[in-house]
Amino acid sequence: MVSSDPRFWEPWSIAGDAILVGLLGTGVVLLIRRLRHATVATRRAFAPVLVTAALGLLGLCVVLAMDAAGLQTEGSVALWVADALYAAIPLAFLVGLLRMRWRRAVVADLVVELGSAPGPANVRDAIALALRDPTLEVAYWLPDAERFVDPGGQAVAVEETPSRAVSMLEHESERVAALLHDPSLRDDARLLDAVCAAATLALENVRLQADLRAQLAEVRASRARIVAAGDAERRRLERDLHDGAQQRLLGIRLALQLARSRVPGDAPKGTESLLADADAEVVAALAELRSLARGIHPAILTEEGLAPALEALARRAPLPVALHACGERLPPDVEATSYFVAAEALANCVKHAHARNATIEVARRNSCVVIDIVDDGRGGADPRGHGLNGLRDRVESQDGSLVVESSPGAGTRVRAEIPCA
Amino acid sequence: MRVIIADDAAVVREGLARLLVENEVDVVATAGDGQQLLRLVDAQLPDVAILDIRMPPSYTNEGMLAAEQIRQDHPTVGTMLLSQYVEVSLALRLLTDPAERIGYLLKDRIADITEFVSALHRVASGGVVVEPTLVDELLTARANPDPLAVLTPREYEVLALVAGGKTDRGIAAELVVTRKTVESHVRRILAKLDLPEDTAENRRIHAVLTFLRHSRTGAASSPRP
Repeated sequence: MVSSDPRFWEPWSIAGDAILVGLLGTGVVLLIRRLRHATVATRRAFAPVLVTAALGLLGLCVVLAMDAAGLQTEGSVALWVADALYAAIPLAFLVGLLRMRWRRAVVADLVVELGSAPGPANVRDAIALALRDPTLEVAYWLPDAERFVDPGGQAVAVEETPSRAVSMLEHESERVAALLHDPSLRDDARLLDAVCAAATLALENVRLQADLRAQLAEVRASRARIVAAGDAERRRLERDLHDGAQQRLLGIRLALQLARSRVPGDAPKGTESLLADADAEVVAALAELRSLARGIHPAILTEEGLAPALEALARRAPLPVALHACGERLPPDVEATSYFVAAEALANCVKHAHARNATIEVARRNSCVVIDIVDDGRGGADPRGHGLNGLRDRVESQDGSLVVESSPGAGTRVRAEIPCA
Repeated sequence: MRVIIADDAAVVREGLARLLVENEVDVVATAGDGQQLLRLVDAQLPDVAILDIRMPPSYTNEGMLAAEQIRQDHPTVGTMLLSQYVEVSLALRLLTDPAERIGYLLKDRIADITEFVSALHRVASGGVVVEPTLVDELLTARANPDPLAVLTPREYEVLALVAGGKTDRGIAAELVVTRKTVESHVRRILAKLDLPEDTAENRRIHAVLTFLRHSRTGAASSPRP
């Protein structure tokens, strides 16, 4: 009976409405305060609740205002909308939570992405995307130099500032890298931790790859240095032989000549022929020494260049060799490699291919020197033969390539391409 | 005959000087490098300057440059270049038209002192001396097709002697034929090889050497001097 009197219920209804407005208002204010300092991620997660609650509050205010103005609110659109909005608040919470969970699922995507496209730029972009922080920077730790560098290798200062937070990435208690990011990302610590864990693995891979590349570059450089040092040593040996032993032997020949011209008529029998024999021995020694010096490093290559050296090589060859070479001088290591390729290939023409004719062609093509040695022999050369392998090592030490085409019965073509600016 | 010897190896320089003196050649001075040689040649004006192609400081072509300087400054001074190995392009550079009073020999040749002294005399009297192995190397193992295949064996023999710097008279003596026979051989050879007929023997040497070089490497078929 009491309940049927609207006047009895009126104060309670007003109080209920006031409490509702107060709760909603407090919730909205708290949410706004929280969101003002929250990460983009948190903001996005709580946004559905905030929007729903704020709209619900607005609807309630409209209904109360209508009440106060004495308008009929029962069954009105405003009341219906406000009620629907209250009911939607738990749903909005659910949506927000799902969005949070979806954010964490992003970490799984991150792992997949980092695994499929490694590389410093990709890693940074993927992390920045996962954390929704476009200002994110990755600083790589160099253990030997004990400092952080950017992907370009420039040193970077890694320290906390009010506008920058630093998250250290460590793998098996070894420092790998540091993320420099928006401090607000700390609010979602679980997301940040998960992304950091995924990134650590990826960055460790990147670092290992960079290490490997650096080591490979160093090995390459050292191989080139070894070849260059070998060449320099060969040149020095050749010069020493020329300026030392060869001149001395020639001096001995001159002295022997003098001695022979001074042998008196009454000298013991055979003196003259002994001197002649000695001279013949010195002549043979000189010839051997000259051939040795030429094999070590032909002087003509150093002094006159590739074309004259190849010309001399062709002249000495026991088969007719047609030579087409431009006369321009090239860097010493390029000339030496080209020469040794031609010399070895030509020696093979004679020794193994039983060729009747050979052609040597040297041409500049783009930024390469291309040298072709072609014969009309029996072919079937083993491209992995010892001599050719040594040549390949030498050519590759200068980032060049060596190709051997040798089908049985179709002759042999050895082609070396050596980069030459 | 007055000569100056330039060689950085004292053992060779002094040994050669003593041998030449024994063979009645007047060695007026010796030098250890190209610069010293040029000063001595300016002061002494010898008949022939004997010099190694490789000398200090760079041991590349100082001798070559010194020889060119001498030939430019003192056309009456002969030059005898000695080289450790046969170098065709360098030899041809030396034997440019009009090549005269010049010799190019392997260094080993100095040990055969009688031949070497006669070569010096040829240079001193305006002739050209060409290292025989240079001619040999140019003549053997040429690229196909062989333009020299058209020559008879006798003509081939004469060609080698021409290339080696021999005069018609010298060739006649060597082959024991008359000078007229040699002259007709030479005319036929030059015609067959499409080389210009030139009465100046030194120019003829150059033309033949250039021809041999190009036919050897296949770089060109019939160069003209």
